[in-house]
Amino acid sequence: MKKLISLLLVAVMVLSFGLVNASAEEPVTIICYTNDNANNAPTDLKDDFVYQTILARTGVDFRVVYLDEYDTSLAARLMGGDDWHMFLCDADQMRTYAAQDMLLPLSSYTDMLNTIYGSYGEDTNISALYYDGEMYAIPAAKAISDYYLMLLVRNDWNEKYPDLKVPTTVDELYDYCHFLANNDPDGNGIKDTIGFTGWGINGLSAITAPYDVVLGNYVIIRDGKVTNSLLQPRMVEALEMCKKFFDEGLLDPDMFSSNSQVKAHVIACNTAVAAMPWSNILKAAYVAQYKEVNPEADYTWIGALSQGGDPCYGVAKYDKYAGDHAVINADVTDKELEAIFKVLEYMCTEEGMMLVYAGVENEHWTRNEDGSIALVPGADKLTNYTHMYQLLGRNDAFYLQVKFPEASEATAFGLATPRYIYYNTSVVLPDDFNLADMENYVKTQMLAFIKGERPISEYEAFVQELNDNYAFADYMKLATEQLVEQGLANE
Amino acid sequence: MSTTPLYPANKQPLGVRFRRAMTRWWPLYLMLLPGIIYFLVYKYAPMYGLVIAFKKFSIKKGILGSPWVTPWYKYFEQFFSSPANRNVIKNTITLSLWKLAVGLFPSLIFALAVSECRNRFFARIVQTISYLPHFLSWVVVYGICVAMLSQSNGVVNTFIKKMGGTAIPFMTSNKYFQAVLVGTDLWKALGWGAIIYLAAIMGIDTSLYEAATVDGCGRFRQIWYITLPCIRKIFVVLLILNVGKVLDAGFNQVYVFLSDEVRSSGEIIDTWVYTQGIGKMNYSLSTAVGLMKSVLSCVLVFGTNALARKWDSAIW
Amino acid sequence: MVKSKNDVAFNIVVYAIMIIVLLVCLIPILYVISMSFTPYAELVKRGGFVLIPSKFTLTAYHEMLKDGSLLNGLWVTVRLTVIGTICNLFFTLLMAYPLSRHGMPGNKLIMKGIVFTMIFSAGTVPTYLIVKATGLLNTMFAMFVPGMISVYNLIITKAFFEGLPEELFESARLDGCTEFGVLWRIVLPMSLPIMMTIGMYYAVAHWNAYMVAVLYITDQDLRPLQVILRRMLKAANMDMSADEVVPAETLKMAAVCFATAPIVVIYPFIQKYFVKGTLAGAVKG
Repeated sequence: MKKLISLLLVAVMVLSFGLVNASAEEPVTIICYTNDNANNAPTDLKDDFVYQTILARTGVDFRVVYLDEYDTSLAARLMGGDDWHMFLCDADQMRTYAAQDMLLPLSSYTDMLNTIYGSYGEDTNISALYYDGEMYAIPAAKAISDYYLMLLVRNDWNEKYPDLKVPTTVDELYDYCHFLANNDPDGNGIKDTIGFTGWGINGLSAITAPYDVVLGNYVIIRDGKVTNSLLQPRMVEALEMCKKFFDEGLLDPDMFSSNSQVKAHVIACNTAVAAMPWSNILKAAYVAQYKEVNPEADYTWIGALSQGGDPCYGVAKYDKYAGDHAVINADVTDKELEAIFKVLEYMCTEEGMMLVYAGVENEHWTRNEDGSIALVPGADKLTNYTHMYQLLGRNDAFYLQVKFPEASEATAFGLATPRYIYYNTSVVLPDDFNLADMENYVKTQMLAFIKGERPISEYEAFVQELNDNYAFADYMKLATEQLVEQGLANE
Repeated sequence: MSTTPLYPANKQPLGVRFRRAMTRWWPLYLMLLPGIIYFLVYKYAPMYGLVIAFKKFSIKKGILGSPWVTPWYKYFEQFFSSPANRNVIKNTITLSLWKLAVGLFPSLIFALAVSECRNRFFARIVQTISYLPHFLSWVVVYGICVAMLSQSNGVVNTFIKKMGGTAIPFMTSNKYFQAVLVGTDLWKALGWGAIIYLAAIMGIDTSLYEAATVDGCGRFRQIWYITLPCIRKIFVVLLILNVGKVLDAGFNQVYVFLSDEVRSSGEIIDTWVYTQGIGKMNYSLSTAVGLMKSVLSCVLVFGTNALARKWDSAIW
Repeated sequence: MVKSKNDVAFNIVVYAIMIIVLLVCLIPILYVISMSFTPYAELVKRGGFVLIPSKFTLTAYHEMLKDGSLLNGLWVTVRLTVIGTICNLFFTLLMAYPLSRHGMPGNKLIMKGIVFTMIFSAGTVPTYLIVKATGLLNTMFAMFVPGMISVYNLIITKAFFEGLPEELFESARLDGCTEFGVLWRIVLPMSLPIMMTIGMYYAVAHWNAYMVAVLYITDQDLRPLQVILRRMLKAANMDMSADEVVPAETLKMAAVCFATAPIVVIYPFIQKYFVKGTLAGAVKG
């Protein structure tokens, strides 16, 4: 007992000493540039409870600064010698800066990395964090937005036409869209129902992915072999199916040019099938909007279709967390680095993690008896900028469950849906390889095939053009070499 | 010109000429001084940045410290070796020429109409409204365009369908896309562009018109023989200034309007450079292409100006 | 005066042009205004197009103005526009006048040098470094000093000055007027329409200032209106984000109306100076 008391006393002394010490000196200022636009962030740091909590808990003056026109502003600030300690960037930019020795190598800080892995999970295949064998980007569990795509249909229409088969194959999808587009399901006397809509070519994958094809440059692995969606045997079949949709007027004319138009059509309740992210229609706020247009409307979702193969829709990066990561200035002082790690470690504690997810316990959220989290009503308006502090990302499934409980079924379904996995982000290209030209050409030609501007019989010729003019074969060779080297494929 | 130069540009030594010019014109040179300092500091000093077109840009080493690239024309080659460049150059030139024509003449005609309108109140209202579109950003103009021209539910196509026609894919077809770009550009710039012409027309001596009326000159003829010749100078000046922008073709507009469906008719040099540079911080490429455009513009502007000198409307 | 057939035809053409322009410009503007007052659900129900709102709401404006940052931005923009435009006009005038004088040695060389800067622009990053080196960063000056004289406006002003009759200057000088006096007392009053025009060009450019503010300003209290608005709109365009509920399209239109209305009202005041024969009166007087 005595021992315990003395231990406690020592602990109290150490703690109070630490506190006195911390308050005696000026807090270290850390500036981190971000491109994550938090519209609702308070303009004054006084009102920013995330900032204040981090300051109180870690003693670090940790400022996350949003820059408009990120690339230009960032370059100007880095060159201008402004004070900066961290910033957010994608893998390409990270490699550019790392090659110029501007970033701090992280591999040796195993304690910090393990702490992050411990609370945010580890993904072992994060080539996006590395340059030349060294880790420069801080690992983070990014939002898995690839898994948000849903195939939305109208439950009320399914009930209205009990004979109409809810599609499970692409052929049935065609019949379904065709029927609804031509039978005026909303009974307004105008033939205004759109058969199929979706967000661009990714939306169209609901039709093509069952053929094991997506219309674009997607590096894939089949039977241990590296290949490309463009080289898949059933490509022509898939294109012809898309063309059939187009020729019959079932495709939304706006789907390749304007996402906001597509969303407007869905909210206006005149689409039979829509392939779009749940986050744009199944949140309570949007449900209220479409219910206002048509109180009977009821969007639900269906699973992936099949067509003589595995069911699948939506493309998803193999490297789930490829995206923006935080990097650290190579020139930070030891004191600053210590402060950065302090903040990162705090974000790894449960309190810190919940702070950047949903705010302060009991003020913005409460814990139910079963351990689940419930937001305090009205708190979402106060906390919907905290995502700009999510430098270590987030456990997306948990986060969405907390933030959008109304969509939890949909998000779970989305995460479980089989996706068309591609490996483009695991391939690092030499500086002067012109990928943008090739990808743009592929997209324009794919649309030309679908719209009948170019006969599908010329598909072979098209692939030949890619090889001749856009070094497609070289690209595939590079991809194969790198993916084999990473142990993802055999040949 | 109306005054003979006091000191003909003869063979006097430079120093003497300078001293004499100074004694005669010093107050005017004094007036020029702040402007010249401004241009030197904020326009010429940063121009060293153009060397980045020949260097591999490194932020750490700075612009001057970055290593030279080999071969020196690497980034120029990157542009010219792209299979897309022919199409891109063609689109840029057609679009800009259309915009050049459309930017000058309709504004002029509108300005004439406003100045000739006898109902001043009506004229003022119309003119004020006509310049409102200038304030809308391209994102908003695109939104308006979609509402008007969308194939699914745009106002125009709804009307066509009601009349029994088939909807026209204005925004998503290569056939119409350039026309939409030029049309919206015209719409946005019409009233704004007319302001400068109006200011010029207001400066014309009214006694000229009075004399013409006495001579029995109709109003069409007054425009032809008095108004147009009097504002010729400003017209030519605007022409020269706009010729300098011929290779721009309006990045902000095209960037907002472009989609994959219309890339082959809508991609211009600047949007191409932009897509190349995404994520790669490719300043060298964009500077190289910019430099190339500038050299061409330079030739065009100086050439047009030399031509304009024949009509006594040169800007220098 | 007898109205000839010709005159009637002329009037028809004039009014036809005016009415076409009126309609073409008015309809989309009306659309923007009504959209800002219409509930989003009502808007999509009507196929995305309303000219007269059938249901009226101020939600978009409410959403926009809910925190004070927009009003602060408006105040910054007003200050920037007033101070910036006065400085712009002063320096442009000061430079355009000597350049417009015939026979001044070196004029053409300077003109070429100026036009050159219009064609070869230095790029963002080097300009940033100069702005930083001259100590303007994070001050109001950074938003107008680097663009103090627009080549375009300078050349237009110069072209107008060149049109002024040379006798004016001669007689003024004979009366013992200094060059500054000529500029102030003779040139300036006679060129009111053009000064108003380029003044408006400058003012509108300041009103829409965005890139300069993004690059040179980090102080939250110095952000002009457009920066705040664009941030709002950018949030409204985030497609995939699961974080925030995206405000409806109507917010975009409310923002446009809010940002445009104040600058639009200045034009009718400027129109007062657009009276035929300003110049002729001055010459005779």
